Amino acid sequence: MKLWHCCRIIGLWLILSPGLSFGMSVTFLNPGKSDEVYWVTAAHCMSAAAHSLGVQLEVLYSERDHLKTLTFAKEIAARPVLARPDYVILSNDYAVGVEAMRILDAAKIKTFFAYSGITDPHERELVGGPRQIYEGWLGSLEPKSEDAGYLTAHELIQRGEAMHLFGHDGKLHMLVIAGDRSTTSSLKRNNGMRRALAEAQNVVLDQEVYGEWSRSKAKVQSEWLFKRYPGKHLVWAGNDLMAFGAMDSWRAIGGVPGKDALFSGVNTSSEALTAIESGTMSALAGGHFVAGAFALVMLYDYHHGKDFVDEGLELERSMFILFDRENAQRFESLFGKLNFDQVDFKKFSKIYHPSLKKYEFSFKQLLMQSEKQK
Amino acid sequence: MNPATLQPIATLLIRRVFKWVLLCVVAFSSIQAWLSYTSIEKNFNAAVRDVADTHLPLLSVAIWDIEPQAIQKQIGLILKNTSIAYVSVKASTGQSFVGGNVSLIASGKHVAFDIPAPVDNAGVVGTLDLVVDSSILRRELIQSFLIVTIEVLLLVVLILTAVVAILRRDLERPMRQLATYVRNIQADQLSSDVQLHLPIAHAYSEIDLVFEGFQIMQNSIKQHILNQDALVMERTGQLEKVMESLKQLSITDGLTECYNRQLFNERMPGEIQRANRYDRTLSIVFCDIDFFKTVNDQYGHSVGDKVLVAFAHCLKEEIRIDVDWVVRYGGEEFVVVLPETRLACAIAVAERMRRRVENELKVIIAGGESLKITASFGVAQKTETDNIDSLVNRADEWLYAAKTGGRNQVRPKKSV
Repeated sequence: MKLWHCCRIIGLWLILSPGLSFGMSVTFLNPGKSDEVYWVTAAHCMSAAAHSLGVQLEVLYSERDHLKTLTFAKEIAARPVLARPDYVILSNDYAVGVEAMRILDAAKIKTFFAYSGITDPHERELVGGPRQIYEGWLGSLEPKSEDAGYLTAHELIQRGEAMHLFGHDGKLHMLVIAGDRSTTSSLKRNNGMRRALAEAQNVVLDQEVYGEWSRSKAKVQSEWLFKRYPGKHLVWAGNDLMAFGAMDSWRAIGGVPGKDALFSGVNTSSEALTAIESGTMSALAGGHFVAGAFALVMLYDYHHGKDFVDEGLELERSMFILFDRENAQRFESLFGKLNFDQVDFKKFSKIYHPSLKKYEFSFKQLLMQSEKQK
Repeated sequence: MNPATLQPIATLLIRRVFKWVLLCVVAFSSIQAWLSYTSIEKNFNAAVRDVADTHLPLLSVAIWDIEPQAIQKQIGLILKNTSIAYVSVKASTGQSFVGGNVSLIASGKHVAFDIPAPVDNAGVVGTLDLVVDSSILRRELIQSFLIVTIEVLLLVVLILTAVVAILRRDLERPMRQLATYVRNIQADQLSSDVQLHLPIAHAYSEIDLVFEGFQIMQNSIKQHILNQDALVMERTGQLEKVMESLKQLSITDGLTECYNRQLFNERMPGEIQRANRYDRTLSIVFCDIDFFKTVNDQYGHSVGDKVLVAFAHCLKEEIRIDVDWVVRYGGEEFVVVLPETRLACAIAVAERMRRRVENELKVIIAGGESLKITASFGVAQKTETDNIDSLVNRADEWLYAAKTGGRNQVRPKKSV
């Protein structure tokens, strides 16, 4: 059904895109759910990029079923040569990217990792670098996930200090609800958070748990944590949903988020942006959903003879920005409906702008660029 | 004999043994049950302890990391152990997780463990309450008790069956055969053999000893009876001889070996009766030695005795053996009874006797001289009216006539 749905989208694209070049086609194996804000945002952003670059894009949602990614890869590899995409963009979520890449590489389909690349030493041993063992693996582009962790944790600590949320020991107490134990971006966000903690002298990390990106699980876990560690808290969460879960349970025991406990999250969901505006959420980082769109730009340039090899095959770029009220409002007004069509992605392409020496892949650029356009 | 009912030794033995066996079964089973109870309980506790040791660290981490699914999964894993009926995990923060059979909470044994925190100095993160299904313990106990009981009973039944079979075959049956034989044995059948139907593959046993003893006894009794028979026969023969001689003595005159007066009195009525019944003739001869008193006086009694013996001999020479008989009637008087003899013939017999005495009777007296002896005879034939006395009297009268007529003669001279 989903596949059929995707095919319909592609069909629509084929009809609706004027001047569409049949020269370049890309398939994105989206690891998220088709109703998950972050991944839908990412897909929409990519679509906008494809549209502005004239690339034919197909998006297949794995619905967070890791094995489905492999099924899709096999299905794509089994297609007739003409129906195959030129490139497949993968995300190495839950460590299934490598296997999918191998399947596609065997079918001589070029691949590119976006969002999550190869970080696990074991995996690295198996695949080596891009264009080495697997020649079709062109490279990867990752948002610098550590930034998200660092930015939010740092902001959270500063807010805590400003609001004097110290415990009896005169220190700030932080609870961490991380994402999962295996996804690269999750681990990197945690690292950023730890770096911020290390920089601050007066913060104690009470405990770190893994909420599996889930609001309900984070709610349950925070209930336990608030009982286990009574008092005032800074709550750092790996994404916005888990932050909301923790807020729910904090409210349930009579607390007021943003006053006696501070919460931070990652992602640009409208609920999160609203929470930033209202002050219930104290720190929010986001914007990294553009990684897919920027990957498309890189592939476009590669396809048209401008290889990114001179910048490095595995790129990690800081894409996150920390949202304040202003930023949040701006984002809402620009992309609140997840429409990125006003963004001109050609601006980031070296083919269109040969003077461009280095890719500037930051969400800030996107925000600013759109602003200027306005 | 005591009429008490028969109690076979085998039955008695079995009954006694069975009592002891029951006692032993109870004793052994109790000991075994107690031993297995302690060991099962020990194992049981160790098993429960193992379960706790295995799962406590995992539970600890799951609780510490606040992974409710993992906690529930651990509870599921703990419950795979059949001896654990119910699991309850209570976190220090108040959350509780349960699993298992709620109905066994009340009856089961509760074992509680503290769940330590996986990090140092964090104390306890919760408690693990295991409800052990004590019915399993009980079931194992009963099972082991039953097994021991059945084992011992089976063993005993087997042994007793074997014992009974052996006793039946080797003791009871031969004993009964022997008893039946002995009971039915008759004095005159002592010599008949005992036949024991013993099993074919039969070892030499006490039964054979008894049997042999019995055979020896039987033989010796048989021998004894045979000896007794012979002895009785011999004794009887001797007695008969003695009786015969006694009888002879009682009817015979010791000196002359003629019949005595007693026999005459016994036998004479029979002779008379027979003569009367068959109308036969019967005569008697009354004899007396002439001058016997003189001989006695003159030559002494020994010579007189010799004369009497020689005289009797002469009389016996003249009679028909088995028909006629001679009686010493008294002193020197003799009566010769002649059945089936008429008077004339009797007179002739008397005459031959007289002549023989006169001619042949010689007694040597002192000095080599031979003594001349004669005798007188009176003869009488029984008449139809005669009795013994009348007949004897008539013969005596005729003897008297011969005496008075000159002695050494027979009277009447001729039948009248």
